Amino acid sequence: MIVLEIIVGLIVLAVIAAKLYLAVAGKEKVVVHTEERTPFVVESQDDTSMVLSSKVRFANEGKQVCTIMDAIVRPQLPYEQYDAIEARGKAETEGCPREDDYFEAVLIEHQESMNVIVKVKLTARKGLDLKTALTHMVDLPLDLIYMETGRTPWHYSKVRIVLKAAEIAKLAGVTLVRD
Amino acid sequence: MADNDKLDRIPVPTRILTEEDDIVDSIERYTKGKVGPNDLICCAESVVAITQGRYVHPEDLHITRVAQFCCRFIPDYGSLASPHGMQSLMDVEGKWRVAAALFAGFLGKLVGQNGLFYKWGGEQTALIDDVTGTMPPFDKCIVYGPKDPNGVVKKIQERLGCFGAMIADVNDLKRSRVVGVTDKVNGPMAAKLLLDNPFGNASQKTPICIIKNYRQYQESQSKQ
Repeated sequence: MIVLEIIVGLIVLAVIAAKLYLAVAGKEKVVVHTEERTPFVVESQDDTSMVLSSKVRFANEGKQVCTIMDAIVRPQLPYEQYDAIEARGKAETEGCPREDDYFEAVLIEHQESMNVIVKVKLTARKGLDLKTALTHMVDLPLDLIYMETGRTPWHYSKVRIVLKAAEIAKLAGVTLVRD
Repeated sequence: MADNDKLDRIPVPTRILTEEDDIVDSIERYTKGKVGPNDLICCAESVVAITQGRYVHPEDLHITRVAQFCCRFIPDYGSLASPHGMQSLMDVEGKWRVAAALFAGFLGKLVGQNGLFYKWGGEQTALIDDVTGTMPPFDKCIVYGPKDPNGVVKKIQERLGCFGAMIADVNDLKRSRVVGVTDKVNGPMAAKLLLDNPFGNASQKTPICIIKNYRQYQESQSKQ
């Protein structure tokens, strides 16, 4: 009976020790600081299109390494709302520009950060030139969707950045016209 | 050593090899005219595994609670530190075998014996590369160790008529480990020549490296 009690006691102790260890060791915690994003700037512009970009900080505020396996920028501009502009998004790791839309998986050490460059290409539709197409532009929400993992199983998370019509107009050098 | 017997390393660029490729055919094609009878052909472990289809996407795994629990006890820089890395190991070596080996490894460490987990957890324990461990598009995959590495190197050596062939696990942390090697080659000696990672772990696309005149080098080193 005493042997059984000792074995049970040891198992209970082991469980408590493991739980304590895991609590102290912690996990990763990815925080995307959209509130700190840099103002959008013009990367390129021609008569029919322009590319805007902003820098967003991904911080690992946890205690373990995390992996950003993928990141996507998804502009939310349905033609029901505004059909003179086509918007396409892209996410890039700062310092690693790619001509394809591929996002290479990247590690973030605990208590460290990396910057992701959020890019959006605006292209005029319906045979319009860019400036004309942008005169009636609306606010453009950009969903930044990323696949993350670490000590927790992989999952997608999403944050939203809103690129204001006024900001776009200012960058393009046009005056917005109220409908 | 005469000049024409001088040791030299030639990284061989290739396109991205996939499971549609045969590693022996690919090495023969990309090294055509460059390999002599005294040379050693080295190939990156992960590329051999990829050509054998030995990789899996984390999304395709059913991640168990046991894997989620066990991975927490691996240091966070390890390939088994993620739930999918641990699950990929459990899928090939057995869930309870891996869990038991991990527990044994923990007990071993308490009495000063290291490495029991890697010894008893199965051969893939030390071979799996987690995501980010391989070049795109496989950076989002878990890549297993190659199957029958000694058989593969034997085929390479026979096909190319070189002195030897080796599959190595090399990384940018100055670590080089022999996964498979032909009989006449001193694996640890050859592995030291790859410590600065001529394969490149990122996007260099040089998964093959020819070590010219390796036979003479090995013989001269053995005499010293």
